[in-house]
Order: sequence, then C-alpha cells, then structure tokens
Amino acid sequence: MAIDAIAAKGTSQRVAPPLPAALFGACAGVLCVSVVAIVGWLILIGVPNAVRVFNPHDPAGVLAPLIATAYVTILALPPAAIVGVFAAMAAADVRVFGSVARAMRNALTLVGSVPTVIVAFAALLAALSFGWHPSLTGAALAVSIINMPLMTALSLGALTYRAAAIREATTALGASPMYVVVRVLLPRAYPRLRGALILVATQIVGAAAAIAIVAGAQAPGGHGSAPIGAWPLAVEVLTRGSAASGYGATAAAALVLTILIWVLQGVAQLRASAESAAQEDR
Amino acid sequence: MQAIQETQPGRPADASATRLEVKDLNAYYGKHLAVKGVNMQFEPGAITALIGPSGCGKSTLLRCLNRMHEVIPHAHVEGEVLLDGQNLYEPGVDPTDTRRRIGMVFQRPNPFPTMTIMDNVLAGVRLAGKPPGDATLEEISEKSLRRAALWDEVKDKLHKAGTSLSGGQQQRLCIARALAVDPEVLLMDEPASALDPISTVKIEELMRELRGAYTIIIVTHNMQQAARCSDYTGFMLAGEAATGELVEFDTTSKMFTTPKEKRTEDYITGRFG
Repeated sequence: MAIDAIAAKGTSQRVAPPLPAALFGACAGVLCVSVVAIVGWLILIGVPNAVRVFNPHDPAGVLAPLIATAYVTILALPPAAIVGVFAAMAAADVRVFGSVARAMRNALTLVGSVPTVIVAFAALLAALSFGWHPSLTGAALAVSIINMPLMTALSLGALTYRAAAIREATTALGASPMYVVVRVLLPRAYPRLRGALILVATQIVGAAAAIAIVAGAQAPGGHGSAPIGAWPLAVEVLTRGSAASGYGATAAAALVLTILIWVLQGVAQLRASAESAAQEDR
Repeated sequence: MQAIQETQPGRPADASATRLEVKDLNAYYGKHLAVKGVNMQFEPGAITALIGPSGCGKSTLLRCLNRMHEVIPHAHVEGEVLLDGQNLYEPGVDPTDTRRRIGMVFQRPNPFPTMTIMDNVLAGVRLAGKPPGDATLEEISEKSLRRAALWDEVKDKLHKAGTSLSGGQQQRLCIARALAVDPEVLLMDEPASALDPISTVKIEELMRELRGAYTIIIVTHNMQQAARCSDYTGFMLAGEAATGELVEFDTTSKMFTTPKEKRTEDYITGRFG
C-alpha cells in the first residue's frame, strides 16, 4: 500500500504543470510548423523543377555548383581541421602550454563570436589589397578560417569530454601533461572528432553568405570568375533567387542543398549513435 | 597527532622498507588553506586509514603525498613530504617520477577506455619506458593481475576492452595497473565507495593481501572498513574556515577502543559526521 502511494506520488511528480507544458508545447509547435512550411515550400516548388536542375545543359543546373561546392569543401576542410584539432590540443590542458592555453580559450570565445560575414568581408579586402582576384580558392581559404573556431571548439569538447578521471589516472601513473593529451585524450576523442569534421563540412557546404562575399559574387565592382563555371550551390541559391532561372529552379537547387546537408548530418548522427552503442557494449 | 614508530606484529618479512613522512604540511586551493599543519609518519608495509567527515581534507592530504594536489589549477603545498628522507617537494624532484614511486587508486574505477585489459595493466610500465627488472611485459601483466586477484577472472580475455569488466573488476584492474610499475607506496582514495558490497569485500581482501609488500594509505568514509583493514588510523576534522587538521593518529585498535581525543570518540561513536 505504502509502495503504491510512493509510486503514485512519483508518477504525479513526472507530470509537468499545465502552464509551462502549454508554453513548451507551443514553442515546439512553432518550430515544427516552421520546418514543415519551409520544407513543404521547397518540395512544392522545387520538385516540379527537379528535372531542370539535374540537366547539365540547363543554365539552372546544379551539377556545376555541386562540383564547385565540393571544390571549396575539399580545400577548406583540411586547414580548418588541422588548425582546429591542434589548437584544441593546446587548449585542452593548461599545464601543457600554460598561459598560451588560457589565452587560446579566451581567443576562441572572442573569434567565434565575430559574425562570419564580417570575417569573410575582411578576408576579401585583404585579398584585394594583395591584388588577388576574387576566386573560389580565395573563398575556400576564407571559409576555412571562418570555420576554425568552430572546429577548435568541437575538438576541445571532444578532447575534454568526461576526461577528468582519465587525465587523473594517467597523471597518477607518472605521465606528463603532453603525453596525456597526445597519447590518451586524442585517441579517445577520434570518434567525436570524426563527427566534428562532418559538422564543419556541413557548415562549409551551407556557408552561403560568407562564400558569396569572399568569392566576389557580391563584391562591389567585381563578379570574380568561377573557374568551374559556377559558384558553390549555396551561393547560387542566394544570388540567383530572383534571376531568370526563376523561383522554381532556385527552390529545386535549395532542395538539393538541403538534402545534401541532411545527408551529411545524418552520417554524423549515425556515427555518433554507433559510437554510443559501442560504448554501452563496452 | 604523533609519530608512530612501533612495528605491527605479524607483518611479513618482505615488508616494504619505504618510509613516508609528512612534516608541517599545509595544502592550499588558491588562497584557501584546506589542510593545516599535518605531521605524520606512515609505518612501512602497514595499512593506514584516513577517516573523517566530508570536507575535512582527507583526499587533499592523500593527493599531497604523490604531488597530485598540484595538478589542480592554483593549488599548492607548503611543508615536506619525505620519502626515505628525500623531500618530494624539493626543487629538482620530478613529480612524474614521484607518482611512479607512489601509486594511486581513485574513488571511481577509471580504466583507459581505448585500451585492452592487458594494455591497461601495462600503461604505466610503457610510460616508464622500461619494465622493472628483467620481466617481460606478459610476465608483468600476469603478476600484476594475480596480485590484484583478477587473473583468474580475466586470463582468457586479456585483449578485450578494460571497460568491458564489471565495476569491481575495473577497480581491481586499476589496482593491477598501479602495481605493475612496482610502486613503493599505494594511495587509495575511497577505492570501494562506488562498488557493491561483494566487490568491496574483494577490494578489502586484496588490501590485506598487499599489506607488508606495500605501504598502503587509504581514505575512507566507512569506519567499519577502516577498523577491518587498517593497522593505523588518522582522524581528520575541518575546523575554522573549513581548514582540515589531523586530530589524532594512532593504531587502529587504540583509535576505535580508547581514543585520546573527545572529538575522535564523538565521530567514531556517530555523534556527528
């Protein structure tokens, strides 16, 4: 009887009060409606034009922009990954680099909070001052720089995730702080670093405004020259929304871009789930 | 507090000769004095328990003994910790070397998740660069696992992940890992507090088996455990400004039957804490 009463009390405590529940429910509803509306619009307008965007001879085709997207991603991802992981390793333990690590953590917060468009515009001005023409390669470099703080933050999270006990155990065995970071925390963080890499790739693929500005697509007095015959897909969606190709083709291109990003995020989530399952098995 | 010099009767002949001593030790977290004026002498080959209520500085004192306290940002130590007469806090003393000589086992089992059982045991040995003595890595692994009373349970799965073991087995794996580097002193910070009663009994049996071969210092909240396992007991208590002090230190039998201090008696009889 007493156990039933406790169980009943426990059950009643799990039911949320009406007002907060209604508020949370309303917010969730707004989010769902927004997502469904956007995706619905993309499908409604984009699907009838899907044949056009997959036609390589159509000026609204997405094949060239997809290749340009891949080009920018392949160029931008490795520097962002290398700088991000190494900076995170330096920041992971204040005992390794002392004040440098502390400064790096502060800088990470500061740089990460600067809007990406501003960083991109600064990169464009710097490129122009050196006499370089806006190009996809320059855009890739800027996008790489833009994503370095994100890669560093994600890597730092991966390296230090529940690391206190492991760090303590290794230190107690006589390991140096550098050994702890390089030989213990880094191998342990590999699965999460892979996930971080995919997330940063997703950011690069979808970083429309920044790529557009740095590539010169929106720069004052310059269109730049797209070496592959197109800008990345995100730029095409942004800049051609009202162009001759029309809304339909733009919506179709946007749908392709959205699906591409969903696929990347899905892969990241699948990997994360597999890792969680493996950890539970262990 | 007082120095304990007498030898525990019945100790094995191969008892560790390593003498660990603490002189006028103060431990700080930033400006906060967490442990004040501790003087203790740990009997070689004996088990010494540190007891006291939460926040009295038992774990802080323990971590001072192998320089793990200074790993915490802004933490520092004043005073001396002498291992066979050498002050471990002297300039020029390598803290990593100190930690190899004074092994440590933590409250929660913390095997390395990316390593196999065997690699976990050998992690410290590989860190040191060379195995102690002429033994091969396999021999060290087996010997350490046998000492930790884990060999029979894991001998057929040495290449499985260390995290595949149960909590109690993981803790004994961590003890095996600490023993593999052949430390002179073994520090145990509430090693059984996260374990079930059966695993706790195994850890206590293991400590009794290791007595004599190692100087063992254990922090515990469990007074029954201190009474069952230890030869000596130190009682700590936080005073003004949450600063911990060593109230009394004596043989366990005296501490639990005829303590000198009223505060010790009150704590042991459950009047506070």
